[in-house]
Amino acid sequence: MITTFRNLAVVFAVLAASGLARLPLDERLTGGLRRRGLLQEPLSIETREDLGQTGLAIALGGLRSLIASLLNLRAHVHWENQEWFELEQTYRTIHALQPRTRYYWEVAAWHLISNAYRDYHDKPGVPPGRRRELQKRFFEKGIGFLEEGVRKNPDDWRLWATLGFSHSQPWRPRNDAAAAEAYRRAYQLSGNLQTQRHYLYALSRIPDNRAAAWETAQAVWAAPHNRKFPTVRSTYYALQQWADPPPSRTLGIEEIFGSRRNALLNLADSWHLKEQGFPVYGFRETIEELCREFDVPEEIHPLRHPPRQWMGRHRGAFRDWVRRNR
Amino acid sequence: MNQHPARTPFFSPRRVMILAGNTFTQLVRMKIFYFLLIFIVIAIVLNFFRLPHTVGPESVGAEELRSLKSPLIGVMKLFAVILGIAATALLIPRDLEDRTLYTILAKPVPRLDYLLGKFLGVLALILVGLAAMAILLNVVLHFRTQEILAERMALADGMIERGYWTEADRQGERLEVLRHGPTWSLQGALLAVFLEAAVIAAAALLISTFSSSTLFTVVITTLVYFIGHFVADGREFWLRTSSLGEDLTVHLASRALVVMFPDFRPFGVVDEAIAGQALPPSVLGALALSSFFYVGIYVVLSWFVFSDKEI
Repeated sequence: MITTFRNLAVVFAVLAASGLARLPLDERLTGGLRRRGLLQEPLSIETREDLGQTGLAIALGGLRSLIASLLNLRAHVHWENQEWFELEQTYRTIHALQPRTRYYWEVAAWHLISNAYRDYHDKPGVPPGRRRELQKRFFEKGIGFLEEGVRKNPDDWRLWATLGFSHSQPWRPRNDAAAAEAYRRAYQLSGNLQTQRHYLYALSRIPDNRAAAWETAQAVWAAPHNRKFPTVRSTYYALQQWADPPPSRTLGIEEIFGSRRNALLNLADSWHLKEQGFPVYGFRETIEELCREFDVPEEIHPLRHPPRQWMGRHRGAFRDWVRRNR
Repeated sequence: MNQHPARTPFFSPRRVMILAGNTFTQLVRMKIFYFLLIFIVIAIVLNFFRLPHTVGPESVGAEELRSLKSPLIGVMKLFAVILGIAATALLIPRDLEDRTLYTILAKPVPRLDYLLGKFLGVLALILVGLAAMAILLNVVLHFRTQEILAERMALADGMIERGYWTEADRQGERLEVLRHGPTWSLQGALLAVFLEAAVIAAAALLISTFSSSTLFTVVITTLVYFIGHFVADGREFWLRTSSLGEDLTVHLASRALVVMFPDFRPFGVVDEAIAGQALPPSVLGALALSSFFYVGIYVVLSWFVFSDKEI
């Protein structure tokens, strides 16, 4: 018995001494892994409570990824039952378990920003005022998820692009400044031309930011791939009209649109984007001039009808006319 | 003629390997590899599993691969850790029970050789089991990756045709899917699973030299495993806070906890590898060194205790 106790004492002493010697090494290893993004933060008290005893034991046993996958299936059931509060809570736990998995941030935000938002648009049994409040609340929670996601994954350009997209849809609350910033970060990180175009679109919709938008429009135009997109062409044209650069640096209408016919087709469609806040400097005059040139009848003239009416009823006839008319 | 009897060498790799081989055979006869059948069933089921919803074209392909890897590697980890604890805890009591231990130690077999042989036998079993599962995982993952890659490339071609994407976007999409396939980082993660199992098996070996009960060893080692996952929290708390105003008992207990238990938190890199992060060789090297340190200490201490043990 004495031998056993002596042995135990020696074992504990050696373990303690080796543990003390290891302390700075362990700290350096853990810190290094965290800095490289290879190790997650410890679970918060709230998450530990949410996981319950079994889930916590499994998560502490190094199976965070597995628990997150299972909770994702639970969240799917909440979605099917339209249990938005439970869904949000489940994703909070999932994010705490797997903060570096983009998919979870995107899906959680999509559920709240699109699905919950749409559900409360006409949810039966909820008074209109309450519905509007809940729509707003879930939209903000969804955006909050994405903001937290990019804070935890600042190098993930796709997550930045999703944040930009979520801020810039016309049928939901829009924040062009936040969208522009998110797209700018996405473009900076990736060089992806689609995000560069969206950065321009968001920036051009901010009235106080025309100078920055014009500068960005020139950068976007410098990539030939971007020039084939109608919104890029019309935005560039509008901002060029606003900036009024010297003639040597001004692109002609045919240089921007390819032809005067394309210019008319493109500008007529883009004229209606002004409702979304896109700049339309010089569009009215140019459309009038080109309509005269192509003998466009008054009944299908893009400036003679309210935008929605023209887009719905006359756009097809207008385009056929312009294409046929030489 | 030599007057002295032949001296037993202090350590013989050959003897250790024979003991390890016997231990391996002994454990295989316990039908442990039936576990592989469960793994195969899970792999087949997961291969047909499709995510119930989609959010956008960018992340779903990769996420399906992650959903395949995550449970399979989870099962591999459970296999390795449970086997590491249970098989090691079983070894000495079982040898005592069926009296094999007396037969072995009556021969010129040093106790270090016996312990190392038993321990390496368990490690060999874990390694073979993990290797078999890793082959299956890589095969399933390879075919699924190719399938998803083909879908994504068809989508990318359509996007390029319509002018929305460039060749660079297509390439980016391709790399994103491949990042979640059977990469070297994933193999590194599987190696980390093995290292973690080796550390916990070594801890079980040390505990089993004190105890003669398998159940006691299993329970205590399992506790060590769970405590080891939040030792890093305690260490950070220790290093970042002052002890002023802290109760002396709490103060000593928290520090004892930090220094006595192995730190399993760095093995969390496996989760990141599942999420598609690259595991640099230097990280794996650091993990391997750390594991060898623990295994070395635990095996030496086991030998120290076992050499004095009355059998």
